[in-house]
Amino acid sequence: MRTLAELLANGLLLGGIYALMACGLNLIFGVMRVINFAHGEFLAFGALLGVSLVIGHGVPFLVALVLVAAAMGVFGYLLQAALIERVVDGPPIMSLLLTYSVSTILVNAGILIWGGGYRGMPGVFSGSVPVLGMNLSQARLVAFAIALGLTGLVYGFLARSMLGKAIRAVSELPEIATVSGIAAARIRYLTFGLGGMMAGAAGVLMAPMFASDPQMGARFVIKAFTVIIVGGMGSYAGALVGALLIGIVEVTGGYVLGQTFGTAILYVLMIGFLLFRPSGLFGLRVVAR
Amino acid sequence: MTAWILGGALVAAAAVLPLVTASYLVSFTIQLFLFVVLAYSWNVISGYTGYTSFGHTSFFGIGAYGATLMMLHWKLPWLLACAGGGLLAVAVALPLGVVMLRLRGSFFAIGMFGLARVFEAVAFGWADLTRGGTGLYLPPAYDLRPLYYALGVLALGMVLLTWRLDNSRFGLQLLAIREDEDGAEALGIKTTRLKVRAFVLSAVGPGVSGGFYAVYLSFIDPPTAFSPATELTTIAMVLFGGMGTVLGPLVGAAVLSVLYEGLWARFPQVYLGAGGVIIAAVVLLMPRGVMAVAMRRGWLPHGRGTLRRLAARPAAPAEA
Amino acid sequence: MGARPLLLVDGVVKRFGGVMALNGASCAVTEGSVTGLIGPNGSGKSTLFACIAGVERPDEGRITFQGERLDERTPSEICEMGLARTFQVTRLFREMTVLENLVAVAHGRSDAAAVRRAQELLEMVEIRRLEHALAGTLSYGQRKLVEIARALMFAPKLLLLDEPFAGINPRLQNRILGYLKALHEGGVTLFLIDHEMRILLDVCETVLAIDAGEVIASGPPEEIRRNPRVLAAYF
Repeated sequence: MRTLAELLANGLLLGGIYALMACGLNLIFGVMRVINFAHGEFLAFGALLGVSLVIGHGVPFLVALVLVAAAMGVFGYLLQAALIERVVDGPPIMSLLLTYSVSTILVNAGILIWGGGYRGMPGVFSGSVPVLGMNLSQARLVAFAIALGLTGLVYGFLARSMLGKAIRAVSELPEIATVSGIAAARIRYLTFGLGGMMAGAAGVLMAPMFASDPQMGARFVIKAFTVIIVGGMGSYAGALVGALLIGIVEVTGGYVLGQTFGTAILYVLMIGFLLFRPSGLFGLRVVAR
Repeated sequence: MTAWILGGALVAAAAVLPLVTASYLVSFTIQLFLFVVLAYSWNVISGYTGYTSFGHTSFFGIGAYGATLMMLHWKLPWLLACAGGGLLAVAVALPLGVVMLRLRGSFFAIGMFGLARVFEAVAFGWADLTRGGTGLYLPPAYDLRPLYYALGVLALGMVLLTWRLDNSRFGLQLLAIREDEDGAEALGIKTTRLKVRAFVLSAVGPGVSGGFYAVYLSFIDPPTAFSPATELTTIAMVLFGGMGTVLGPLVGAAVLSVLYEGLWARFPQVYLGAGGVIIAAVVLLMPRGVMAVAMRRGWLPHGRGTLRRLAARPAAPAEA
Repeated sequence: MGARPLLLVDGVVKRFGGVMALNGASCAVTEGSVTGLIGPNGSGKSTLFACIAGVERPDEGRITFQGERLDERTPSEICEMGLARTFQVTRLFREMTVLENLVAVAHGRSDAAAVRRAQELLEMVEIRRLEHALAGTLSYGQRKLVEIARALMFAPKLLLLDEPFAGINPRLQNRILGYLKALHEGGVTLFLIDHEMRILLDVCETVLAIDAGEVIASGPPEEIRRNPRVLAAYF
């Protein structure tokens, strides 16, 4: 019998990883108003690459984390430079269709590379740790700590560094993107790379907790959408708070209503926010209408 | 005129096909008809009205489950049950349309995607009714010909309906919503009512054909009923052919069905990604699809000929 | 006077965030008149039009048209009551032909009747030859003419014109002026915003001056031109 406190704590821990993924998604949206439908596949690729490195090649978990995050970052940068940049100024639905198509291509590529089955990462973190009288899974605790650390690190980068400030400037005043041409394009590539890196890292962190498969992206991208819609489109802090909230809702909802209906609650929440509070909890602008 | 002769020949060929040939071609054409219905339906809301939906499989799945349950529990004949499934889809689409069409652009697309996942979760979770992931089984249909004709008529109906729409003021008003919804509203076009009507209209085809698909497979389960792959294929077909055109969905469905069939036979491992590659190529290279290219090059007349003919008519002698 | 007000704006307040766009604006447009609305940039002219047309909802105050409240109706309902408009920046459906632009907004008629009506209107503004041209390919002046014709599709009682003379050459300005005078003689009430004092003075019977969200003066054009408050707002 799990206690309520344990339930909440587990939700919070899950939410930490969602934060890492959703902050990347929101960053991309904030800078170029592109909704990356393929964000879930970045996570799936991160997880599966992580499994291959750790289980297949005996690479230490943390080293794998760094390698995979870097690889997904480069992949995101190239994807933006090669494809998405070409529709960035067009109608938003065109970029959504493009990332939607990229998502299905990646799922197919994932099945070609890793096969359609589930792959676990057993034995990396196991057992549970007593915290404040609760029994919490070690994998979740470690993932939570690293995810929040990375989310904070990116936040610090955006707040402090020159490049980060440039990214925020483009996000707040998209018009300057057209004024300063090339520099703005480079910033968009970097932003997509950064978003890809965060999703990839979230995937690696998730791998010890859940079995991964190439089709897992669809399940997670919709959670990430829910997070940023609840938190507020384009708001980094909103995505963080939204993610922790969604983690808790998902875990408690799943406990009370059973797994399938628990997940359905999230979608209902997302649609409800879209309709009745499109600016989310922290979004400043009403962007859905 | 040639278009009508060509169309008539096509219909005649489709009508005699099951009388002269083996089951493989009949089976292929059933799936082609199915996608023609789905593509034309999606074209009404996403092509003409401009509300891109990523969740129209919702209505396909609802129709499939509705028809199957009516056959199993009420022992309805399959044709009647499929009509009932369509009716159920319409009944669900009406309130959903009122609510979901308040969203615009990408948000509508994602909201609809989420909705399809909600219905899928309900189909999984409501096991008393749907038997969850096990799925529901129907007695297998040994003779596919009745199904072939039913779907064929439905597909033909969707083509004719779209032709009517393209030549009507309703169609023009949907195009006006696609181009500038606020402007259309300010000019007296009742945008909310019209787009809900288009949404409901776009749920009929998926609803009815969902039932047909369940009869065809004699089986239905949540991943089949609410398959994102069905959605993807439909969208790829309409985008390829040309959104908001009369013949685009037909051309898209025909070309992609043949292409998929070839891929399935020779390179099954890349079959799933093909739809994605097609959508990406269309978005990047010809966002209006092949029909728009053909119209621009003058190979095909522009649509909406009825209005042009009305305009060319000499003024009527003194209106009553 | 004796003519009854067709449109009555009474104490309308509209805020955008902290900005007060309309601050208790009140005015009347009498039936059968040509009324002009002048005011410096940002004085609230366009916001007032938007409130009348139902695009924006007033925070306070009421707007009535023929004695019926407008401020709780949707733009399309307001249109149906007989109040049509043109836009400051033309807003044609660019992917449709000129004729289709007009037919799309018709209602209650058969398609054949709608087409005939559209052709008559295009005839009236002398652009019938463009009926099958795509709206996106027209010049700016031609687009202005199509907008006027489109606004007349359902025989409005009141026509709101948002800067009909802006950005076009004097020859076309005079042409439009001629059409508007003909409409006025046909019984349509006109309410227009413009910067062109010359034209406003020529065509309007009554001019309203708005500043900082308030109607500060109304009267015949010569009077408004000499009104000290209006002069203070402009210079």
